[in-house]
Amino acid sequence: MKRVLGSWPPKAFALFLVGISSLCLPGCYDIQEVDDMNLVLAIGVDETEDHLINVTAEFVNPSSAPSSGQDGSSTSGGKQPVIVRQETGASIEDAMGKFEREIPHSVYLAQNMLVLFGESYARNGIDRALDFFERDRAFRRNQLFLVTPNAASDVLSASVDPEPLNALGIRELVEQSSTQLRFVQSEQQQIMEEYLSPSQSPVMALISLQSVGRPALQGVAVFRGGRLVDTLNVDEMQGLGWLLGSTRQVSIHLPCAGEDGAGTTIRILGSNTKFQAQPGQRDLNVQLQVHARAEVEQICPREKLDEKTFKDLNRMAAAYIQRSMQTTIAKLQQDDVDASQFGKRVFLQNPCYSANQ
Amino acid sequence: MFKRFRRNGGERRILDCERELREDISATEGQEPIPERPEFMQQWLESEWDRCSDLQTREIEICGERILLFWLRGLVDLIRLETGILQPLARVSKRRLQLSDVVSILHTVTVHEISTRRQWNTALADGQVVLWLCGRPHALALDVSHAPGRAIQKAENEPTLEGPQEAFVEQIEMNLALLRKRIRTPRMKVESVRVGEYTNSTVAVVYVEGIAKPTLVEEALQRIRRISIDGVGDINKIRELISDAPFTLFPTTEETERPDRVCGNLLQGRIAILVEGAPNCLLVPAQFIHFLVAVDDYYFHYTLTLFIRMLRHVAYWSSLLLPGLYVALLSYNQDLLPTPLLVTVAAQHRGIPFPTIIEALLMLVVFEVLREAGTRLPRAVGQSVSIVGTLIVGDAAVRAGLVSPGMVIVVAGTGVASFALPAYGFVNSSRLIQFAFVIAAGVSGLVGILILALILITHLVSLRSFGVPYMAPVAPFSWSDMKDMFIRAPWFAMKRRPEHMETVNETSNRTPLPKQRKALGWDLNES
Repeated sequence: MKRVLGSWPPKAFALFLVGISSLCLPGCYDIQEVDDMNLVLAIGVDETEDHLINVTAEFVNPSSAPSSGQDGSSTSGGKQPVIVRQETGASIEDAMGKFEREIPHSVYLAQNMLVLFGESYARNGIDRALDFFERDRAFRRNQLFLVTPNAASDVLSASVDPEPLNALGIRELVEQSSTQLRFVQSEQQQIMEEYLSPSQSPVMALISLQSVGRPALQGVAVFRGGRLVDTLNVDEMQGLGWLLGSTRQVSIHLPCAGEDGAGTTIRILGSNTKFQAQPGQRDLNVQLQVHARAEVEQICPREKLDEKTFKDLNRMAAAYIQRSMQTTIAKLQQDDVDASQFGKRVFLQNPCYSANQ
Repeated sequence: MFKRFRRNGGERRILDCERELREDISATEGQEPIPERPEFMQQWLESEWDRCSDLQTREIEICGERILLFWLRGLVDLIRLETGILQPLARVSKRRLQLSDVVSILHTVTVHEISTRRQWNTALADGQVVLWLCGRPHALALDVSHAPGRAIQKAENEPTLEGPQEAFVEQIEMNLALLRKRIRTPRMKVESVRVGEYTNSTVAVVYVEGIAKPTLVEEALQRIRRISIDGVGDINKIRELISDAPFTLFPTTEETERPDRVCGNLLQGRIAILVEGAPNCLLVPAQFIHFLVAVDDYYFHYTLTLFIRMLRHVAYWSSLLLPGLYVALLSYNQDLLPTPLLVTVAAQHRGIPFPTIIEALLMLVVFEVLREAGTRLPRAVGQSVSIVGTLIVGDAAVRAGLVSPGMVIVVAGTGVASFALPAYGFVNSSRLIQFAFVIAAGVSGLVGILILALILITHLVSLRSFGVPYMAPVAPFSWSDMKDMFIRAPWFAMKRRPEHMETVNETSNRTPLPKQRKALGWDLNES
């Protein structure tokens, strides 16, 4: 070595070695310029009538995507800021592979924000899809898993003005609701945690198209294992929120006594649910205590806001929450699904009891 | 401390021998005595100062004694020559004059006796008048010099809103006076060394005895004495010749044109090196942190300084890393960008014919050319060139689809960040290093940036300036020196001089803390 290098100083040799070695790093080999990629923002998964998988992908259209040079307009030249393309295959991987073959520029999945399952596909089981999204390292684990009763391609093509990008708009809708009920933000890592927990009951946000053709949050979809079993509407979703834990800024409406009117509106600023499981000899007693702070937004027209009214409102609100929780539990029991995560919470509090069961 | 000098001992010894040999040869040159006989003197002067039309000679005869005066035109104050030398000589009536008699009658402040030819030449070159009594083996050097030079002006390269405005000039005597004016103690020592075979320039090493580490002073003097060069006219030659690591991009000596800054640093145990003809001064040792400190940090309230200094640190690392990070994020690590930002960037980048790295290098080169043009041209034109270059060329390049707006913003941001740094030498190093980061990012993305950053940090911690670690007080870590690192603590909290300077006297501030003042009953509010 000494003869070859001659009079090279050791520092220069070390630098040369580092320089040459750095060329062997997986650098230039995976270079991918930002304008040589198709940014995927959302993926829809549906099942066709002949039991094939129809995958819808929402790509950014760079020529019409919003940028600083467009004076705030969402699109330019009348083109849509996103391109929606569909492929059908025997599996999700198969359909995704077709995108690579049929669309110029490579498909870039790391920025995918939504995975929208069609109801029919979800009812037949999403286990394989979960496996695919977990294994593929290109996907971020904070992408939202959603369910739609409509065709996924229709939802991903719908307008979500004023947000120019459909996927961003839908994600925004879900995130807005999740400020009230955290569980609505059905991110992949949360879904996987619920899927693998003792309860095995993931809950995903339910997005459907309204009559005007715009997507909206309609409630949540409840799964048993990997299969969709039922959906909960917004009121039942609130009940599930109180069952599961903390909520914020939830409004409840109470009717006025003996007369018509807008009723009383109470905003529950924040609530916490205390779960207590007490295993007995034969059965299991579960106690839920909801502690909430609220403010009155509106009261019935001829009512006076005095101490008695406050007490009455307090009692009525408590009854409302209790009723809402009972209704939701009844529905979940009917569906034989543990979306309220009782199994998981019992396991956490009494691992021995769960093991014996 | 001076570990670096102990290394390669054999090689150094050879160099030392060569130097000593050269010194011996040069030492004997000019050490001959001045000729005593007038004809020999005339012969020597004609050969030594041949074709020097600015050499002036005046011969006067007093009571039978021939007196010869020599000086260089333009370097001498003729009024002082006439009133201080010629008029007193004209009144002499004594026969058989001796040099001591002449000294006693002259009205000249500074008089030196000279006996060698070298001293004769040096005195003439320094602007002194040489008075020779014919037939004597000695002469007198009379200081009536008035070398041309500009007056003290405002500091232009290191401006400050508050604080003194004076700046150094090209005359070393005036520069030393500016320091003396501020540090009024005989403990401020000035040791002068003549450097330059032909320029024979004075290089002054200034320090405060009792604060500066003696071995540090000795090391600085030794390094300057070792210089054997034709001439020294500016500070950069000295800097490159005495630098610890001549091949590094980072400056290991600090340069300033502000006397107040020099004084502040002298009191911290550092050493100032002034050079005849240089309107600035070298401060050694210099650490990384010194280049991110502006004089205003000490003239503003510490609460404001805290924010500004943090901002400056961010600006420095931004100026190094911003273009590289942009290239890495757009070429390799797009997944790290938030989706809306990536969508915007992708839209902006559509249709650009170059890969991001080429685009970045192109923009950086154009920016450097514009900056260089702005610096070289006269100020009024230079500003116009910068503005035209930035606004019109940048906008035209974006409109032509050659570069993306994001790249223009990044390069402009990098430039602005570098302008926030107070030390120009440091800015120059970051200008070069940012290219290396862009190339590393283009080759290996964030991994490349990380590798280069590690190499850079390794290099930085291996550097020393006059034996003091370059990254002190971060590496080696010193908690007490952190008071003047990323933040500037209030003056009452800064009690000690920097640890890494290893000063003789560590305490710089003996004022009691506010809490102690209260206990002593010093607070007016309490009374």
